[in-house]
Formats: sequence, C-alpha cells, structure tokens
Amino acid sequence: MSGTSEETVRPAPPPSAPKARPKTKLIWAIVIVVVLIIAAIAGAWAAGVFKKEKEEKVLVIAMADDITTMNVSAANWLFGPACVIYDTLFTRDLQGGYSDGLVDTWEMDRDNLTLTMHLKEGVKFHDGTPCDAEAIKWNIEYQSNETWAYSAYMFASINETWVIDDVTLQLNLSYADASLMFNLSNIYGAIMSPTAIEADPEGYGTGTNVVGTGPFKISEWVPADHVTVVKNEDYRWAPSWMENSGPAKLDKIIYRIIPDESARFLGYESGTIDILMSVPPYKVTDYQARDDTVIMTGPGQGVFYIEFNCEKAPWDDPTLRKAFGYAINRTEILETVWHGIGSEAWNYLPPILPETNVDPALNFSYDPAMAVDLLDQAGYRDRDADGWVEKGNQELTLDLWTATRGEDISMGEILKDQIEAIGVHVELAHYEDNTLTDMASAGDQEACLFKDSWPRADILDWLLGSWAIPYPNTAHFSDQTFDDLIAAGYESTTDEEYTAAMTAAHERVLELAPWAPVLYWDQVHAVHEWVTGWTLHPLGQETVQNLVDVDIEK
Amino acid sequence: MADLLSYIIRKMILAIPVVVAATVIVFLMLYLTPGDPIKSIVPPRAGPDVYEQVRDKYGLDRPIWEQYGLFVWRAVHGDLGNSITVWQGTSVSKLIAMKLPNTLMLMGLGLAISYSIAVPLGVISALRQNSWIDRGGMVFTLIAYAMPPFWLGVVFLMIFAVWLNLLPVEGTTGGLGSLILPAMTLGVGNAALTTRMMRSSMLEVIKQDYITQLKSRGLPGREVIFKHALKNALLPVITVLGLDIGWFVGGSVVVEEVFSWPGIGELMTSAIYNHDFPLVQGSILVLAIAVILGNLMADILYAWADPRVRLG
Repeated sequence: MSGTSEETVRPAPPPSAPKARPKTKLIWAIVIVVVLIIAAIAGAWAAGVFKKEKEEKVLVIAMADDITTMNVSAANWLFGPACVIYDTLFTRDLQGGYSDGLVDTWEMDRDNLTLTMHLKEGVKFHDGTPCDAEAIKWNIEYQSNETWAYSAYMFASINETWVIDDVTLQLNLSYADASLMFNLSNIYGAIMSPTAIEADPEGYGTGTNVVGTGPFKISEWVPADHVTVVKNEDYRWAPSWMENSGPAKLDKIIYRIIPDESARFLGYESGTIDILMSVPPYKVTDYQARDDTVIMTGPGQGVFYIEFNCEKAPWDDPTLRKAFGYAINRTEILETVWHGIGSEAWNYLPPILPETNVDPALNFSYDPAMAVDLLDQAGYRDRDADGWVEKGNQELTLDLWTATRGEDISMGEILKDQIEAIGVHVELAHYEDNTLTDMASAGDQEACLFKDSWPRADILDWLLGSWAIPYPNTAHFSDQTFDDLIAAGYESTTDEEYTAAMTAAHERVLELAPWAPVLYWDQVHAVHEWVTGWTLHPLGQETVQNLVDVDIEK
Repeated sequence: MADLLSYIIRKMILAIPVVVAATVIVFLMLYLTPGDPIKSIVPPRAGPDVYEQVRDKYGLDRPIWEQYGLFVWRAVHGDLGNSITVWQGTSVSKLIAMKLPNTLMLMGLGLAISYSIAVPLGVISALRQNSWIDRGGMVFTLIAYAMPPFWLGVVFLMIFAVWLNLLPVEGTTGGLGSLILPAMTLGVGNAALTTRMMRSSMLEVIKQDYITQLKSRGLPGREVIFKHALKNALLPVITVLGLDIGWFVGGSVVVEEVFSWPGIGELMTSAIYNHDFPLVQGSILVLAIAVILGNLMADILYAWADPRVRLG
C-alpha cells in the first residue's frame, strides 16, 4: 500500500442501515401543516376575526397648534376637542342667543340677586360620577379660586352657591352681573369632573385625564400629534337648539395637529382630512373649484388693526395716530389679500357685537384728504413739495411690524403703499408671533399689525386698559376716562346697561385712536362633501359646538 | 478588549465638554432671543399678578446663571424639568421618552434606505465606470444632494400620497406605512454623498495591486469584489457613518415637521416657537448625546472592520 497517496477513501455504508423513506416523512409533514392551518382558522373564527366589523364613522379635523392643557381654569386658549368633551351651564345658539346647556331652566331675580338654576336630570361625567348640583357648586368654587384659575374673574360676582337639591342650585350674587350668562356659557367656564381633578390636581387636563359630560370623551392624546375622542354612548342632554339630543352620530373624531400649512392642505386634498378650519385666502379659490369641497364662511370675532405705541413720540399724539385710520383703502386690501372674504373695519369691534354701533362720526373711512388734514393738524406738512410730510426738517417715518404669516406680510406691503401715498415713509419688518408680541410689550415698536379675537366687548379692556400695560396692552395706552367707562360696563346689571357703557368706552378709544382698524376677519372652513351637519358658530370655536348633528356619508 | 474599553471611556469623557457646550449655547440663544413663554400659556384676560405667579412657578424670574445651574443639577439627577407648553407642566423626560422612539425609527429606516441605495449604486458605478449606469448614478446623486429635505418631502407627498394615493399624507394614521415617505426623504437625500464616497473608495481599491493579483490567480470576479475589495472600500464609508448620524438628527427635525411625524424633532420645533425653554434644552441635550453615541458606534464599527486600527 502506498504511503504517499492523498486519495480519500470513503467507507461503504453498513449493509444493515435502513434506507430513508422520504415519502412517509413528506406525508407526515403535510398532515401536520394542514392540522395547524385548520387549528389556526378555527381559533381565528372563534375569536371573531372573520366577522365583518361595522365601519366606524370617523371625522378627521386638522388643527395648526396643540392645546397646552384641557383644564379650563388653566388654559390659555381652548377649542377643538375641549368643545365636545365639555358642556357648559348655558350655551349660545346659532343666532347667538342664550340657551340651555347643563342647566335646563333658570330664573334670575335681580331684586334678591340670585340666579336659580334647574339642571337636566341623569347627566353624568365620563367617569360615571353624577353631574349634579354638588358637582356644579364644586366647579364654581374651584374656578373662582384666583390661586390657579386664570378665569376666576368670570365668577367674581358670585358670593356663594347654595345646593337646594340634586338638580337645583342657586347662586347668590354681589350684583346682577350682566356678564354672568356670557361667562357661564363660555368654554372657559365649562364643567369638569370634581372626582377626576381631586384624584390628580396637577395632572388633570393632560393626557387622557380630561373628564367632562360632553357628547364625546377623550380616548387618546399624543402631544403635538393628535387628540382622539370617541362617542359618549350615554349622552342624551344636548342643548335644545341642536337637532340631535344625543348620542352623537359620529363614532370618533380625530383632531390632527399639523403645524405645517402645506401638509394640512395635502392632507385635505388627499381626503385623509375631512375638515380644514382657518383656510388662508389664497387657497379659497382653488377649493371653491373642487367638486368635493364646500367652503363655508361666517362672521369672525375680531379685527385686524394697526396698533401704535402710544408712549413713543411722535405716536403719542392722538391726532397723528388718527390720520392713519383714514389713509387705509380697506377695499383694496379685502379684495387683493382676502379675495373678498371678511369686511372693512370702521372701528374696533366686530359686527356681531352690539357695541360696534357707535356714533357714525367716530367711525373711520378711506379718506386720504382727511388723513392729510389730520397730519397737518399734528404739524406734519409737505412744505418742500417732494411728496413727503415733515415737521421742521424731519420727514416722518413709520416703522411698521407684522407677523410672518403670508396674509400679514401681504397686508403690510399694501399698507406701506397706502401710507406712503399720504406722504409718510414706511419701514416694514416681519417677526415671528411670539417675538413680535414680546418686542411690543417691551415698547420697542412704533406700530404693529395685530389681530384680535373675542366675542365680547371686554376685549377692549384687555388690550387697552391701563392695568394691562405692558401686556396684553402692547399699545401702552392709558386713559382714565376709558378705564372708568369699562369699570361701569363690568358693574352693569342688565345687557342694555352693559352695551351702553361699553359703547361709550368704545367711542372714547376711537376718539384717541390707539389703533387704525383694517378689516373684520371671517371664519373660513373647507369641508368635504361627505360631511353633513357642520356649521359655523357665530361666536367662533371657543364655545360648545353642535357636533352631535354632524354625520359622514361616504 | 481592554484597548476597546479604554477607548470608549476616553470618548465618553471627551464628550462631556461637548454636551455642556451645546447646552450653554442653546440656553444663551433661547434667553437672548425675544419671546416670553409665559405669554403662550397665560391668557390675555389674566392679570399681571398671574404672569408673575406662573413665571415664578417655572423659575423664569431667576437670574440666567441660576436657571442654568438648576438645569444642570437636575439633568445630572435625570430630571429635565417640566414643559411649559406641551401637556402643561408635564415632565420633559416623559415627553422625550414618548417621542424619541419615533425619531429613532425614522432615523433607522432612513439610514437603512440610504445605505441600501448608496452601497450598491456606488459599487456598480465604480465597476462600470463611465458607463450610462455610472453617469446616471452621478446625476441622481447631484439632484438628490441639491434638493433640500423639506422640498423633497413635499414632492414625495404630492406624488405618492396625493396623486397616486399609495401612502398616508402625514402623522401616524397609516401605521408603519406612514414611516415610508419621511424615511425615504431622509434616506434619498443622504444617499447622494454616500454613493459618491462609495464609488470613489471602490475605484481606489480595485486599482490596488493585491486586487490585480487576486484576479490573476483565477479567483472569480464576484469573489474578488465582494469578499476582498468591498470590505476595504467600505472603511471610509463607515467613517462617514458617524457624520451621517448628525445629518440624520438635523434632517429628521425638518422632515418630521413636513410629515407631522410625532418625533422629538417636531416636539422641539414646537417648543422653539413657543419658547418652551425646558423642553428645548432637554431635547437638545438628548439629541447631542445621541449624536455622540452615534459617532462612538461608528468608531467601534470602523475598528471592527479594520484590524489595523489600534484603539489604545
């Protein structure tokens, strides 16, 4: 045998080794697999996997910003989900009239200064606890506490709350407060579950710890992403002005938070978003041309205005400030920027408020000749015929700042042209919202283009009252007569008194012209055709909405 | 192994001043920029007293140096403070813990897409140098590199979500399908540079003498390329991986905003707009640490791929 061979010798298999039987193995493998499949199918059938689920009716609404908290007493602003999770004691119908909410009937006794409220029966919070007179009393006391409640002033006229029985309570008032019904019908006076708040006072209002009595209850809240609310099956106490007393027709509403405007539009155009609130003017024409879209417009709750820094020379001169109110061609701005949506603003309060009806002589209008005359009265005249007004040797220049929103920039550009047409130079600059507000609070500005929103004349006090300097009174405007008239308005005991006092206050600030009004803005919503029952509330989004009437028919 | 461990420890120690510097810069930028976070949460109807109360609650009335010191002290103990504007008063750590996994998913898939495009395309371009494949690939990289992520994202949305209706437009409504477009946006944008790097690295390697020698020995071409050349050609690409982590972190902030993807980038953008100082500082701290860890992983990967690298 050779020792150098490298050949490998494989041993022969032992003769007794059984041959493999692949066919048997294969058959067994098939049998096992088939048995497993049958078992899986049987299990799935038993678990109801093959049952066709009833298709849910889900409404998707886009929002630009998230809410910071849904604790109504600690919220800066509330709309969207809060307005369907909560109920208020009273509501405002679609004509703006006061109507029932959690309160069914009521009696105001102006002589004895009491408001007796009879609650609807059988109302429960989403956590199952009763929304009875004790719960309402708890809410009023909680929301009156200035330690944590930003809106405590809304309950300032309530001395005491007496519980008569489970569905009856009486408010003892320090005076017959004309603003009380407004405050109790406002989302910032909504009724929250005392049990939920007491269980987690610090955390209430965030996550899923939001408990009301509304037609929808919170299901999920992913911050900066979405809020999902689901139908409250027990809801039967909708206000009488709503067509459906409850429960809601929709199964679920998803409020998607989409800060990027383009993404909101794409979501709407692809059909994944059903409703767009706050449609910018440049999109309105496109959406009106779509077959699947209804553009809904309705009155807004505020005004765009140029606000002057009333502490900074030369803008501390009311005559000078007033001139600019007559230099603005509001028609041009309305047509060019807003495509006709909205209306021209002649004074500081929107048409939905009775206090807008001031002495017509005080309303502003487009009157360049009047503007030039007022400039002349303030000492500014075009002495050298170069087209620019001056006082002494100094030509007048206005630094006008706006926010960085497209519409604001566009309005700023047009305002610049219009103001320069009366001989005043304009330096235009644009800043992000928070920055603009902060700089105005600090008094850095000469004039800013701002927008306000509130369905009550109180807004004049918040923005122009002396107590509010430097914020929110970024105009740094101070006038004792105005403050006194506002105080009289707050002490009014009837709606007529309130309107008279606030109208007088309105007229006073128009005389002193801290603002030059530009436009009354309108609400603009884009709604897909398969959504029915959606309405625009005249008081805007910060009030209970009639989403129980909304349905989807896809 | 001891070398590797000491290398990691040295890197972590060196990272501390980087993280501190990042937080100081962001802190100063936030405080020097006009904007008051309290105005985001307190309504106009509240009185001046309320503003002072809330400012005191969040410690915003203290001197800057004291605020920064408190932030550092708390951060060392794992407390990043409470958000002023998101779920008002909620712990920043909790919010970041909710959002960070979404960002990591986005970055992970984006990286996978990027390298899945870049490595094969770079290799093929190198092997078929000056062919139509090579030239087409280089045109693609040029276009992809030139397009900013926010624009690329909107283009993808228009094509795939609106016109073709294949994928969700935004957010997480489509489950994992919602991740595809934002990840593609990140991945395609990043693939441009990586493709070019892969191509030039591969060209250099295949011209080496040892590759010629392997071919002359009769080894199959596939084996020469994938078993010998590619491993060496990948080394510069692995080095760039560390830089890519930083790119992805920055890119994800923009892409999350476009697609409303609920990650830490979107959270931070909203916090910046609202001057939510604790949330911005906490987010920056976490992202800075993520970038540093990403670079460290890239260094370790490089050492594993190249035994010649001494970590000690």
